Amino acid sequence: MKKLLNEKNAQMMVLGIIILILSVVFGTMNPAFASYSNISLFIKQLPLLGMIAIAYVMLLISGNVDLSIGSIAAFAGTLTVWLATLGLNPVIVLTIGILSGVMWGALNGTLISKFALQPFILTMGTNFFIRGILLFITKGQPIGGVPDWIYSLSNTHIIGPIYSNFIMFIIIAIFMSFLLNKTRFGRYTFAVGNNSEAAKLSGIKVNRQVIKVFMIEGAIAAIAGIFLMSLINIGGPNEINGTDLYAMAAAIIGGAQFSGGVGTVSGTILGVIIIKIIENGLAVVGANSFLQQAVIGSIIVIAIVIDSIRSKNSRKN
Amino acid sequence: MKKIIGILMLAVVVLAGCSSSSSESDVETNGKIYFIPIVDTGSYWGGIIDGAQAKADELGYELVIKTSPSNDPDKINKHNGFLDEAMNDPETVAVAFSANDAEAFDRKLGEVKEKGIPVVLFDADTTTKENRHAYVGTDNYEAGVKLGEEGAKYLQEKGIESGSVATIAVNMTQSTMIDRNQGVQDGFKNIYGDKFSGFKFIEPITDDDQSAVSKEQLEAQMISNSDLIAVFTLGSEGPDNGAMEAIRSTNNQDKVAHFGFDYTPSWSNGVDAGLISGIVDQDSNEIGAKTVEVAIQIADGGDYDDNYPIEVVWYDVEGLKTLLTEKAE
Repeated sequence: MKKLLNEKNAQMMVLGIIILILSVVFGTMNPAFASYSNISLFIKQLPLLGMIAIAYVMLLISGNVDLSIGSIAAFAGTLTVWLATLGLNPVIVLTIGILSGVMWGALNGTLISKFALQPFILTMGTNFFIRGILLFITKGQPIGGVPDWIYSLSNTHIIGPIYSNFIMFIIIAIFMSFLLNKTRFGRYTFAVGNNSEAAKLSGIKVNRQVIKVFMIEGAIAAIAGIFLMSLINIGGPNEINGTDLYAMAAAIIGGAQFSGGVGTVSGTILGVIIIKIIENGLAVVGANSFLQQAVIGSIIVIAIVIDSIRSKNSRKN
Repeated sequence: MKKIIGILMLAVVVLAGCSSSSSESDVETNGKIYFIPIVDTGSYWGGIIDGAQAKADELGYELVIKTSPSNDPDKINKHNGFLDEAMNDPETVAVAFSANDAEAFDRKLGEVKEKGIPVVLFDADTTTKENRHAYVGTDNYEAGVKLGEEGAKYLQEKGIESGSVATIAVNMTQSTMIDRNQGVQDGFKNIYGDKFSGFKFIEPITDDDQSAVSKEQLEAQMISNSDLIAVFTLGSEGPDNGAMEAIRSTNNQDKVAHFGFDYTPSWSNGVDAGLISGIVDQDSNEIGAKTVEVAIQIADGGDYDDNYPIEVVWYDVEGLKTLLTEKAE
């Protein structure tokens, strides 16, 4: 246990050093990177990927992946904006929006667990299905006329560079950290990810646990989608495309493994910060869009290589 | 729980099924026109499709609409496949096609034409003009020039003689976007002449039609280029809305002018808040209707022109307000 804790601390320290190095490099290339305005924008841009990555790390811990998480978020966000434009009560609107995420999560979890399907393939299908339904219903057109209360969800200034969307991100991070580390649900999630057969033999209802994990992931994705639509002031059915890969990379960089049973919320947050620093830094130094894409792609490759090395080391130990 | 999930799934499938079946028609027609736009999302493309559908209905033809999402990695292959499908369908009367890449479909379009099927390009033309019968649409380069010139005049009137200029497009590999981008810069040059050297066009942003991406990228460009005085968005709601929200979030309404392409209801988000300064607009309904009309005209053996230009019109912010009201009505 002590060894594990030391390993985790060392890992966090390495991530901290990487963040420091990246900040110095980009800050040297363009001092505007370290300006208050940029830091303020950075903090406002962080929550979308942050929330999705936190939901994702729980999935990875349980030994699953979800390629439809971006579509679930876009569906819930667009649905919420549409309902809000009808003038419905905010509580009802938000409840339906979040429940739509829970519903898609339940669908993924049920199909994966009941039919023993590969999450990668299944969620690739549901990704197209959910996005397709969304684009079909909206004809691909963004929904405007966002009411003030929706806009203020993400854009309410709290203090200094902190806006309300960042507060929601912190609340979700604390909640998920508690859920994974201090509750039976968390212990079961780790157990299922470590060895689902052993978990089953020890009395854990594995299928039910997987469905629960996907439902919570769907709820967090929905909240992320709602806060993103609030930030950009529309219900955008095209939004949050490809975020799933960034979220997966952030979780892996932060210490999670594809094989399941490993991962932390704090490590994932550091992974998110690394990816967002690179994204923001490249934009601030004026890098070409295609080059930015290449760099982010290489980070995902590096994350997968890191995962492979970690898995080999765990097997050796 | 299982029952609830089952009912919800069934509801979604039934809803989708009902909606799609309502668009199908059992009425006998004079044949099929394969209508292949670059995408079918957004106000501009929606307008083209609506115009085409109305004209096809009016003239008694079935419009077969085929397309793929804007970020589909296999887009060129798929659209070449649609052309194959049209060629192999015995009921095909004509093909209307928008070439998101001027080179990629050139050969295949030639094959369709050789088979005796009328080929009308719309919105985006192909490289070899002999491989199609006619083109309907705006000259994207000229439309870019118009936007660049009007934008430059706007800035000149404000006494601006230098600064950085940002550009946002859905996808900078599309020939329409490349032409518009070049046009904007040349139009800018036409107005500023020798003083053009005082301006720097920074690396274009590509956002795959995602406002969140263009917003983040433009915010970063505004931070790193404190002299940024204008942003040109080259079409579609992703860049339009992303630019407006970036200007809003950085409180740059009085400093950064925003010039856009084509009407979209999204402009209403920024027209009163100083987030959009003017647009050039193509009449998308007219492009769709004219394309179908010309395709049928050729299929019937009538005379036709090589080019049916659709002019773009400049709307300053007041004109845009009127346009938004008219379109809403």
